[in-house]
Amino acid sequence: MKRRTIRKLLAVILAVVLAVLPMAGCYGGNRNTDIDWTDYDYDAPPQVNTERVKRLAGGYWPAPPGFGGNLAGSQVGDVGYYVYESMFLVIVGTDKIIPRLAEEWVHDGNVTTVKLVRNRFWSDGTRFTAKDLYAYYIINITDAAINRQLESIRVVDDYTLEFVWVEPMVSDTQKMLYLAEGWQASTPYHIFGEFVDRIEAIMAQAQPYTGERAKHTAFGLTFTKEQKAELKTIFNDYKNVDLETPVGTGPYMVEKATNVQVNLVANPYFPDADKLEFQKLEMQNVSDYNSLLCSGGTDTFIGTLSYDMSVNILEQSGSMVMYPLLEQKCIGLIFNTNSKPLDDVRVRKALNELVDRKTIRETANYWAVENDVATTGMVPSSMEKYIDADVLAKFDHYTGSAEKAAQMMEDAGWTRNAEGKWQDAGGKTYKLVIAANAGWGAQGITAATEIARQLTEFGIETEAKAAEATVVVSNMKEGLYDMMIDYVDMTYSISDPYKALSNYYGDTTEKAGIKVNETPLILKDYDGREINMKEAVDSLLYINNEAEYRDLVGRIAWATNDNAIAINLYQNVMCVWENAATSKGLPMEELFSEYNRMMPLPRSEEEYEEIAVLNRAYAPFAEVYVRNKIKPR
Amino acid sequence: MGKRFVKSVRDFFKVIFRNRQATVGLFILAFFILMATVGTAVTPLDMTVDFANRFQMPSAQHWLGTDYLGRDILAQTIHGSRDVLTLGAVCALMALALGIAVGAAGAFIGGWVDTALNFVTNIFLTIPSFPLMLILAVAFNVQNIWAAGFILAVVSWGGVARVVRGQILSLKHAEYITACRIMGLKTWYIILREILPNMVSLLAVQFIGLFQGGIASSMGLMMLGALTYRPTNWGVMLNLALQNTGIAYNPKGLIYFFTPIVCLALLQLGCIFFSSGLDEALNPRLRTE
Amino acid sequence: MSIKYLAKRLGNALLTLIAVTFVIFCVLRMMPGDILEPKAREEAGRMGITYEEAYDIVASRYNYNPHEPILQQFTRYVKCLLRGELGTSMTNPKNTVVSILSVALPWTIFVVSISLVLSFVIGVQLGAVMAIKKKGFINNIITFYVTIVSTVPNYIVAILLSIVFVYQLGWFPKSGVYSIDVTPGFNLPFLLSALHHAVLPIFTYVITSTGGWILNMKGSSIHTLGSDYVFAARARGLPDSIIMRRYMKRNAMIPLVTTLAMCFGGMIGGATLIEGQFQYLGMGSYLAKAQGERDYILYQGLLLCVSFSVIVANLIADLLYSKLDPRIRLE
Repeated sequence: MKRRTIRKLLAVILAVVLAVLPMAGCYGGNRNTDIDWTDYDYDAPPQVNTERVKRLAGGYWPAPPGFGGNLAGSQVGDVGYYVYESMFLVIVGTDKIIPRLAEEWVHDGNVTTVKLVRNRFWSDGTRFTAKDLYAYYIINITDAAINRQLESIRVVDDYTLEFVWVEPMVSDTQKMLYLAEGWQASTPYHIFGEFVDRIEAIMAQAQPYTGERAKHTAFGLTFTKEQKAELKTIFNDYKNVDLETPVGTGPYMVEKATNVQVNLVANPYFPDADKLEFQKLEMQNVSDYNSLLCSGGTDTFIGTLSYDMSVNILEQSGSMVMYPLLEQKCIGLIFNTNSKPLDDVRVRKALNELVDRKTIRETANYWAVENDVATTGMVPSSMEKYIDADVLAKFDHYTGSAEKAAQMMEDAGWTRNAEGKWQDAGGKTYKLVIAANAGWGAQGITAATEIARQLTEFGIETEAKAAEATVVVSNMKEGLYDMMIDYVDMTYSISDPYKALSNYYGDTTEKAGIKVNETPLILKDYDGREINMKEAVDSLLYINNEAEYRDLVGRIAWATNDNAIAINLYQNVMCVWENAATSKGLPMEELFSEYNRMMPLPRSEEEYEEIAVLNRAYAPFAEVYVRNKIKPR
Repeated sequence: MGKRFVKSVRDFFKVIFRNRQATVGLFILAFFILMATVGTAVTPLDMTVDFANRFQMPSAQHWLGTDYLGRDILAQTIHGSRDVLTLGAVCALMALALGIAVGAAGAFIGGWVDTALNFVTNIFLTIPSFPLMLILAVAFNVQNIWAAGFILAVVSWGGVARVVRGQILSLKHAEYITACRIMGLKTWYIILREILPNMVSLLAVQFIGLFQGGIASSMGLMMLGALTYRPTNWGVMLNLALQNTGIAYNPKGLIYFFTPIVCLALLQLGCIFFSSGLDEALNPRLRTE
Repeated sequence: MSIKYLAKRLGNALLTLIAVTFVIFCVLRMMPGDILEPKAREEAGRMGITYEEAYDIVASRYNYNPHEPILQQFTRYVKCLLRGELGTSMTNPKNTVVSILSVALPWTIFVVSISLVLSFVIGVQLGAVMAIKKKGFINNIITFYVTIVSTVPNYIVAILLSIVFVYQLGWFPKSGVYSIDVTPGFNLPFLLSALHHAVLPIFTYVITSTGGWILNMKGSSIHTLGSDYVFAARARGLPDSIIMRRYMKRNAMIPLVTTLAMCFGGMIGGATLIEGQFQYLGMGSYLAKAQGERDYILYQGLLLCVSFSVIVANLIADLLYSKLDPRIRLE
């Protein structure tokens, strides 16, 4: 009997220990909260991080055996941000252009001459010349977008390239943006030269292009079917070239790669490589970034976590710093304009008025910035910069008031039936479906569920459905859903309105069931003037006069907003995390204690740039490490 | 006839109540069934987001506190139970029925039928379930829980068929079955009255496995868009807790994290306990204690 | 008879393999959706180009033509298989199925075999004990344990274990199958590193799969205990321990051994969620990756390998079954 009691006791103790262990383990984090992060000698050699290593959490690269040095074979992944360079890089958000391989550039008539920096080498020791960049444009003859705006590219000497633009030329702003596009120094001529020669041979036989300007082909060449097949073969051969590791001109090169970690070391051929503050980058993948950040086990992480998780990380780690940064993307609800009752612009506007964007933002992404317009085709944070104030004042704004929305529904001829459900003039009620990408988590299905709840409460029965990433968009384009959560008013790169609008009139409109390429979409602007939207957007590319450009952008954005084919819910915010325990000279250091290291959105363009460079997607080519402003602590 | 039925039901419960485990199991199951039927009718579900009041500790107003968006956890759990119970049960029962039918047919008829059925079973056991589910979900355009249960059953019956077939093959030659055969009893009668009762514990294990699998996959079906997304589904609750609370790092979120786990565990505990009692009730020879 | 039986089984397995190859091929081609769509978005973000440009680029890089007639695709595929080629990734020429198998399979087999044997041995022991001692403290504890581990999803166990032992205590590595600092090969640092990385995945497998074995063994044992020869043994007054060892276990284990063989075959596919939590990249992770990226050629190659192992395991289970259970031989 006694033995049994002891055994029981032991079991209970064991159970308690097992239960407490996880908890106990978690609250013993390294709390460095009391440390004054600003009190140190900036120029002193590192005390803690003497190895000068930067640990980067998260990133994509193909696991070995897939990892390699051939960009076209999808073998490089995010490693490319650190090993490659381009002539220019653009800081996403401000559109500031920073030369890297280019030194000087002049636009003269239809020729842009770019002088390249001298004495640069590939990481295998070969000298970098203009021919290498030329190779990039030739090998990617059909893929590089700039080629369709060019007559030709000329290699003048080892350090000079001439780009000859097609008439009518794109505007000077657009020229620069085209010149900054892509990872250009990724095809060293001494490795890939044979493909350049083979493609040039085909180019020499091709017929000149004679069609309209808008569909101008690469270098004004028309290829026959056989020539196209041959080009495809060449590209495949190029894709099959087996390179062990990426060869680039950038500040770092790959030392070792496993499926969960890539070690990058300073590229000895990079100018002043030994003076780089961080001599080694360790990119590591784990499954649980929340735990990793809580334990302070990394130095940089790019990603937005839920509000409470973030607060915890800041508290537990005691040294992580969170920088939110506006993304050039908004998340919105796109309407299927072919399905009843959403084909009625008045209903779309009423729903715009109804939706409580604040709650949705809190549900989906706490730091995001809500908008009060329907959808403009432009990134909201860039609207003030590109549209005049008096035009901005003319835009429809929405307040999220259910009464006002009800009034708008009534104005559109709708009435509430006995159960409080809305019915149209014909007495018909509707059941709507909102779809969301299943992989989006809180920003997708959770937000969709909340919107569905709001609509149902309002009196329009709605349900949310998640769908797999590969089917959700095609289903929407086929018209299977009434609404869909997706990106709207966004650009993949720079905030110049042309990029955002051209993405909108094509991709976004197609999701809304409007095929702008087949039937012209004609909307009225604030003066009641009719605009063919697609044509107007395309014409932006060639407008050099700034006033004219702003005027047209304002009209397009206004008309887009008036058509309300979507609800712009919020402009997304992406966070960057840095570790103050291992790095010094971080942005906004003087504000750490005031904000408890949960930093506010940048307050000026300078601050924005300091933070933007921390995120490789905002400023590639290891720009932050090249600047040498952040040092190992 | 009716009297005999009443008597056998009474006998059944007598056996169940004699076994303490089985009694507990029965009560747990009854509790969950009540939760799914009466509970949902009594408790209102308000999913309005109240960001300021998230992660509240238990109080008179919120017995289990609130979740990461300030919504009552208890109400969500109760409303989730109906989904979980029906879908889990529908999926498990369908898969069991399908599996038993195929397995028993193969084992008893033998010959080329067995070979053919075995062949089909093997194929279903080897096809990956994700693409199959994706195709079925799109092809059938699922609208209700029965269709969803059917899809899940189609994906998961293979294991049951295999186990049933194996078990029947070994029971087929047991003395009492041979006796039944000599007595000239019909095959289906033998299967239903003699063999299946002997397999109750085995089938119960399968049932629990299928049930669990069904709940897990129902989340998969929601993610494929085959079912309406419901944040109250326990599997979804667990997933949301993982994504939003920070698990062990956020003590306030632990209730939200553990509620669905505890409920699922209890539910299955009920199944296990009850099945062991069921086993004894149907297998008279096990009753001697 | 034996050879005829064997031949029949072998033929059957081969036929199944052929059918499965065909079914997998068709199922993958029937999958709805646009595989280029998500890829194009990702590419657009990385390169800073518009979505439409990115779509063209991605399409040109795919060495897969969705418009090719399915029958033609299938014959091409079979021809390759007959030549012994399993295929190459649709995007990355370095990712051939064989090369991926060579990096993924050894780790999966390593972890799976160890944990399967461990959990089987523990499960059978505890299950037998549970069946014999129906009442009592041990039974309750085991039931409690089984309930917990069989109801808590295995990835939750993996998450809790990793939070404690990886991130807080720092005893085990965060991810990977071996450290980046060692050179793969037959040397001590590498072997130690590999073991170190495998501990937690194995531990998780064992913790979570023992419950199933216990329940299986218990169910099977109770059934055996109900048979007449056990009654007879009891009537002779033999103690529980002898009944358990001599009369019950062997017979009760028969269905379990076959399940074990099948389990091994099935586990070659890896447990995606456990592997994911520890970033222990074995078959499960590569399968999930191929599925996520809709790399059909890779996916079907890996699946074929998994199916092959399942079919072989089933064959072995079948043969074992007839070997272990004399009654089956009457067939």
